[in-house]
Amino acid sequence: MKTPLTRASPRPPDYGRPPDAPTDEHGSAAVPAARVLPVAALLRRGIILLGPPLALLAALLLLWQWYASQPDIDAQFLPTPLAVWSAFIAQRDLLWHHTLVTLNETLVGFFWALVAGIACGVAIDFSPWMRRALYPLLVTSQTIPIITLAPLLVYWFGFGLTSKAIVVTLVCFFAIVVALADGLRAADPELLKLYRSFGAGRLRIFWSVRLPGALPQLFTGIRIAITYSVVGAIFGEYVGASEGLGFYMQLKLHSFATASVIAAILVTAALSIALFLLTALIERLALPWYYLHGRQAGA
Amino acid sequence: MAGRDSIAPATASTGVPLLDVRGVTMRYRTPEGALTALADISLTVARGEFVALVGPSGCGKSTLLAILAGLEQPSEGTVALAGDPQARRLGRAGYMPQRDLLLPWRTALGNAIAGLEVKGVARGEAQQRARALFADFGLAGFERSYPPLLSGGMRQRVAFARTVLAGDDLLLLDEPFGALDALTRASLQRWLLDIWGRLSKTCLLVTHDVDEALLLADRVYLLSARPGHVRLERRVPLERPRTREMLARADLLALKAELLAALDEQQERSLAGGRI
Repeated sequence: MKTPLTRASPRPPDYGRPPDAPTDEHGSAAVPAARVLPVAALLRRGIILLGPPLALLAALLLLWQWYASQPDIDAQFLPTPLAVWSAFIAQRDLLWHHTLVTLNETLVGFFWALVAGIACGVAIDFSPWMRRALYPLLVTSQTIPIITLAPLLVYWFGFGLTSKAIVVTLVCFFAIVVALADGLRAADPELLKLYRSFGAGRLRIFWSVRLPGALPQLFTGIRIAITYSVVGAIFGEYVGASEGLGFYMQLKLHSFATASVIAAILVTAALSIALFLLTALIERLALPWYYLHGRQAGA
Repeated sequence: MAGRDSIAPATASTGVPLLDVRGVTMRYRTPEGALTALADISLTVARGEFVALVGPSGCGKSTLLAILAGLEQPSEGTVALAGDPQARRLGRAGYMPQRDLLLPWRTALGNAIAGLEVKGVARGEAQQRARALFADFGLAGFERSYPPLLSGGMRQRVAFARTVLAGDDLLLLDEPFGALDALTRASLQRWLLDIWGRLSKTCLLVTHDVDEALLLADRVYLLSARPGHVRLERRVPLERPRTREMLARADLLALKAELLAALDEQQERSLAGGRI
C-alpha cells in the first residue's frame, strides 16, 4: 500500500458561513455573490499587520545607530545604518546589476524546479510503483547538504548561469514535489466516488477533482520553495561566480567594505520578500475560492 | 409553488421495472474473516416510483446503493437497469451521498453541471439545463455563488440539482438530509415533496427516518440488521399531493408503528451483534 509523504497534511479550510447571513424562503441563510475585499480595507489591514514589526525595526535601527557611533567602535568593523544606506546609494547601479543576475538565476532555477516538481508529483500520484521508487531517492537527496554539492556543480557546469540555476532547482524541488503529491493524495475519497458514479475516468477525475483540490497545497510548497530559492542562488555565487549578489558580497568582504556587504544582504532579503509576495499574489488570483473566508484552518 | 400535480401510481405502469435487484449478496474479506454485508436482497423500483429503503445503522444500506450506482459489484445476484442485467450502471443513475460534496472552487452552477460535464454535454447546454432547475429549486440568483457562502440547505439543493442532472431517470439518494439540522431537513423534505411530481424521475431513497420515508415514498422496504436483507415491504397508502399532516391519519400511524417496531427490533439485533 501507499505510504504518506509526511505525517500530517494540512486540512482544507473550514468553510463556515457568516452568522448574520440573510434567510431565504426555505429557512436557510445565504449570501448572494462572492465578496471581494475592497482596497481600503486591505490597506487598513496592512497597517495593522505591518505597524508593530516596523516599529520594532525602527527601535532596533536606532539602537544599532547609537551603538555603532560610539567612539571606540571601528566604522569598518561595524558600520552604522546610515553608513549602510550611503553605501547602498553610492553602489546602487552596481547592486542593481548584480541583483538582476541573481534574480535571473533564481527564476531559471525555480522554473525548472516547478516543472520537475510537478512532473514528479504527478508521477508519484499516478503510480504506486513510482511512489515507491522515487520517494526514498527524494528523501535521500535532501540529506545531501547543498554546500558540499555546489563546488562540484560549479566545477561541472562552469561559473555561469547553469551551475547557479541547478543549485536553485535542487533547493526548491523537494518542497514542490512533496506539497503536490500530498495534496493529490488528500482528495476526498467520497468525492472520487461521486465522480466515478458520474462515469468519470481516471484522467477526468484528476483534472476535475484531484488537481484543483491539490492547488492550495502546491502553492504552500511553492511559497516555501521561493523563500529558499534566492538563498540557493547566492550560495552558488559564493562558491564560484563572476557576477551576482553573492559574488559582490564576497568581493566587498575581502576589501573590508562591511557597509556594502550589509547593503547587499538587505537587497537579498528584499528580493526574497518581493518574490514571496509575488507568489502570494499569484496564489490569491489563481485560487479566489480558497480565500473566501480567510484561511481559518489552512496550511 | 404548491404541489400542482400528482404522478400516477408508478407501479401501475406496464413493462419491466426500471430497477430490478435479484438476490444481491455482498461479502467482504476482512482481517477477522469473511463479512456478509448484504444477504440475498431482492427489490424492484418501477419507473416514476419513489421507494424508500429503511434500516438500522450498519445494515448495508449505503453498500447496496453503491452497488446500484455501479460503484461496486455484488458477490452474487444481479442488478438490472431497465431490464438489462448486463448494463453498465456507472453514469446512468444520479447518485447522491449524505454530504453535499460540492467543489469549493466551483460556483453553484458549475457544481450543478459536474455530472453533465463528465458525460460530455456541451457547457452551454449544461448551464442552460442547470439554470432551468435552479429557478425551480429556489436557487435563482445564486448561480455564481461559491459553496462556502451558501447555507447547508442551499448546498444540499445544489447537490440535488447536480444529482438530477447527472442521472438519466434513476436517483439514488443516500440519506441526503441526514447531515442537516431538523428544521432545514423538514423544509427540504417539504420542498422535495413539492417538486417531485414535476421532476418525472424514479427515486430510491435510503434513510433511517421512518417519517421521512412515509412522507416521501410510494413504497417502503425495511432492511434487517447485518447481514441486510429485506424484512418488510409496505405500500404507503397516501395520495399526492401530500402534506405532513396526513401522517397523523390512523392508518398511517398504524403503519408507522409497525415499521418502527420492526426497525427497533433490528436495531437491537444490530447492537447485540456488537458491530455497527
